[in-house]
Amino acid sequence: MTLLQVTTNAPAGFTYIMLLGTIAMVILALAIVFFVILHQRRVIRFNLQLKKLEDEKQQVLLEASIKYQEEERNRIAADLHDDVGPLLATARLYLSENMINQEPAEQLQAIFSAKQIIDDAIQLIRNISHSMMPPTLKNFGLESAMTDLFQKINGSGKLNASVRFHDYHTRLKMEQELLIFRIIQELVNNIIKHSNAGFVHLTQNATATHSYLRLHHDGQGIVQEDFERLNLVSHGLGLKNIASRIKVLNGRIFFELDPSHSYYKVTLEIPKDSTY
Amino acid sequence: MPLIFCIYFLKRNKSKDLKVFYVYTILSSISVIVVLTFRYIFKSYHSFLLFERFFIVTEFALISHFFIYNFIQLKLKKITRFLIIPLLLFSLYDYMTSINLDFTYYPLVMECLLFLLIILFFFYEKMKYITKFPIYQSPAFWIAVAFLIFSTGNFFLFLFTKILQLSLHNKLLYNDIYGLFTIFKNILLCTAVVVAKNLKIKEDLSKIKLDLEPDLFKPSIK
Repeated sequence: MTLLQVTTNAPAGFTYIMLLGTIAMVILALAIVFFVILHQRRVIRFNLQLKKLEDEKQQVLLEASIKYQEEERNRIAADLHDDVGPLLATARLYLSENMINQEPAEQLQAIFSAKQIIDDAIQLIRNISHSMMPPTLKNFGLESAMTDLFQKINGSGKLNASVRFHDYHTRLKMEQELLIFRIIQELVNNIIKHSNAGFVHLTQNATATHSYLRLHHDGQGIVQEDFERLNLVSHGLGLKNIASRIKVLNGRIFFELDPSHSYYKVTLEIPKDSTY
Repeated sequence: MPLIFCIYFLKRNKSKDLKVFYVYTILSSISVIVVLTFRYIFKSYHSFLLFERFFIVTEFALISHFFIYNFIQLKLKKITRFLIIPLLLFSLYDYMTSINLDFTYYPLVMECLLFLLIILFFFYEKMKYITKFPIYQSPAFWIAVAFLIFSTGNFFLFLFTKILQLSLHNKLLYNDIYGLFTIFKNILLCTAVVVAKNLKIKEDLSKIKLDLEPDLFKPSIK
């Protein structure tokens, strides 16, 4: 109001000053609008790039998953063709028509050999079946399956393996347990193959919302950056399968070197109410 | 002009915020008729100025309400909701203290400042929160720009109304500037009503998602 009272007796150039002020205000307003538009365009473009990268990563995981399935099928086909097929063919040879003309002792020997071979074939088929879906996992749950797996590793004498489940009173869904089992199996497999570790220890614990599994080993391990890099550049399927399974579980995985630098840790975080 | 656009596109734009904007366009149109009636038929300058004050407060209430619907942050919604109080109090104070009921330039200046504040809040929020669509595809953006241009363009005009009314030349200048920015505002408000449909179509498309989770391979429409 004071300003108005002062400017009531303003000089003649006042109109031009007012016009300049108005033009400046409008230019400032337009500058704000253009700044907002440009800023938002940049943000959207950046998000699109991020989405594109995410899509590419998804594509890699999808391809890895398909490739893994194909390899699994090929392995099963090879096991059936190379192991079970010859065994059954041999058993058929023992049980041929010529058996009628043989001596009873020879007949008995042939039947016994055929029985042995058929038993071996049954065992082979069981092994193939178990490698697809471990019966311990199906019947007794993740804790028993893990204990079983680690006992077998321990039994080999090459690696000191142990398991400790702290809080696994309620089983996760069957599909979740299988995915977790496969992840741990792959991780342990990598530890045995590449790390030259002396021990591997699996610990499980849980919160109200998440279940956690942690592998400790004293061999040569990887950290999170290595995992992400290898996941993108490596031609192997192991890590890509781990990543795709984690994605399906809506979980997370962390590869770390312990601050003491004496062992590596791999932690899995799985939401309990994961839907997939 | 915005009212005609609103009626024409009434069926397709049914969001809450746009409904508030429609009410505003109706009120603006009615106010033009009322102002002309008071000023030129009844020749009651007093009623005209009283109605102007009422219109300023109502206009601000409606437009601020429109922006409240568009804000994401609760804090900004609350602040904007309370901005009507200082304008209302100031208008009442101005009405009671003005000699011979002056033209409503002080409440108009106050309204412009408050509009600028709300619009800056709006742009700040649009920059802060990531959106899927470019900002210019939303009607709120065009309405914000309309009021930003109108408020900044007329700010000095309203501030110095008293001086500009002293000579005929300045009166004409006042009318020219005010008319120019009013036309700009109306064009931008019409644009807001037109762009509303484009955004709606894109939102519908965004609902279609393909389930491409690995190990599932079940393309579906959620």
